[in-house]
Amino acid sequence: MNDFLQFLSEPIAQRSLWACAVIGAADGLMSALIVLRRSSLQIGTLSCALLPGLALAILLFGLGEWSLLLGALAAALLVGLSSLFVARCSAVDADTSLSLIHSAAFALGYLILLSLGLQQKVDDWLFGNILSMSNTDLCVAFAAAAITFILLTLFRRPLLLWLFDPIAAAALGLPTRALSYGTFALIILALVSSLQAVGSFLSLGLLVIPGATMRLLTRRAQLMFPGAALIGGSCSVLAFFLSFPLGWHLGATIILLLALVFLLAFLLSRRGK
Amino acid sequence: MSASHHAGTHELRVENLCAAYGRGAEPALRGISFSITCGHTMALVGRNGAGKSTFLSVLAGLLRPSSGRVLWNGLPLHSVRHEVAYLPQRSGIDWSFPITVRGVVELGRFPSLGLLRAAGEEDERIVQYALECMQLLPLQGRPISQLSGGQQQRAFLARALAQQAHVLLLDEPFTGLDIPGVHALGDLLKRMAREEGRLVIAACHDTPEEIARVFDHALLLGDGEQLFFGSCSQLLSSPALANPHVAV
Repeated sequence: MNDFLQFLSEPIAQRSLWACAVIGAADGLMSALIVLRRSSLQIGTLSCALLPGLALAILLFGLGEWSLLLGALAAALLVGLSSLFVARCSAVDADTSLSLIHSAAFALGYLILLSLGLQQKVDDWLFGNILSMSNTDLCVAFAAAAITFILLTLFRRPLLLWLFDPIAAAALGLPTRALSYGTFALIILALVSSLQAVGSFLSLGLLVIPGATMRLLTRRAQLMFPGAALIGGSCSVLAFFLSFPLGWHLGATIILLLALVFLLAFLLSRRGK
Repeated sequence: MSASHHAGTHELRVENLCAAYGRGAEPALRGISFSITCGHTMALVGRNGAGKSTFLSVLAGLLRPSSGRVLWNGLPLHSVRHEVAYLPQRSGIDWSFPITVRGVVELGRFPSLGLLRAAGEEDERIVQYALECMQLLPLQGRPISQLSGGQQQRAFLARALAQQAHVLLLDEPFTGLDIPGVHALGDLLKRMAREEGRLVIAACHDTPEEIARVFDHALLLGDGEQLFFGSCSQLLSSPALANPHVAV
């Protein structure tokens, strides 16, 4: 216990705690949008597409915080847009083309990273390491969270109308294509900003489970957003306090806790039927 | 609250309208011209591919005319989009979306509220009135997914009322409803026109006799061309209906 209290007084622990709260809440908020947008599968494949971006960034510009961030962002955009392009220009549907391109890109990225001798880093990027977050990582996470909170609050009404009835939204003059691309860009921003904390594999859980849980608990889409933010933030903070004494990996603990809350919500929702 | 004072005054005028999906594409609509005022119900009739949904898309502002004009009280209709409420085909809606009946109706206030303004007492009163008109008050807290097809259509009509739109566009509103549901919705559409002073335009696949029960006017389309416009009683005796290529 004394070890844990001493650890809590360290700047690195305080930074990690802040990161858990902010990234958990922001990704939770975003998860409501992802679930309502039915983009979970898309996010799953995109999250793995970050790896080749990291590999190419290291290969071209060396191991730096900004080069990694921009590499991940570029990879997510490139894979997302090229899958859309393949789907539009061929008989292959969007999900198939996204799966195809992401697995090829992932394989390429993995080989580059291994050839660069970065086996340990690969684990960090796949599963995250919140304790190794730098000040820049934290600033990026805070900025991404602020952008997410502001935009999702400001555009709550048009987003709800567009998600529920896109044709009526277009008839009212809403820029539906801009909403589609804009929300896609926001999702990529959330993915990239939480990469260091929970890794590309585990970020998928943080970006889907809180929203899916709230989908079981409420009949009102607008309640899903604050509810999912609360679940994401509180589970991440609780995981921080649990993982140290238990000696568990923090990212994995966050996802397990979220899955447990989802299971409880699932059982509750079944009881109500 | 009621728009009945607009009945017979506010006019929709369509002038030599042509539309196509993309530049250089075969026109999907050619030379449509008519005018009709608020307080009326108009059926869009014709076989599959006649241009009914295309015409509704143009009126809803989803497709730009390649030539011709659509005017609402002398103004281009696309410049007064809040005046138009579009109810797409049932298949175009995600019915499992987590939203209550009241939530659906409240979405109708979006054009008036914009991004930032909070809903006030007047907005609440308008939503309450719309729910009351469509007899949805007892169902207002229910998820939209738990309603019957007819009740869901009523929720969308209530949203149009809350929007205070004068032109209601409905794409095949009777599809998927049972016979009592069809009659109840037909009566509601007539009420929306006669008592609320709206202009109701709906694409239909029903027989001319059934169409005449609900609608007072009809626009018959065939291969994107206007074959008939006039009252439904005239439509029943129109030689255009006898043509097997345009029969509805």
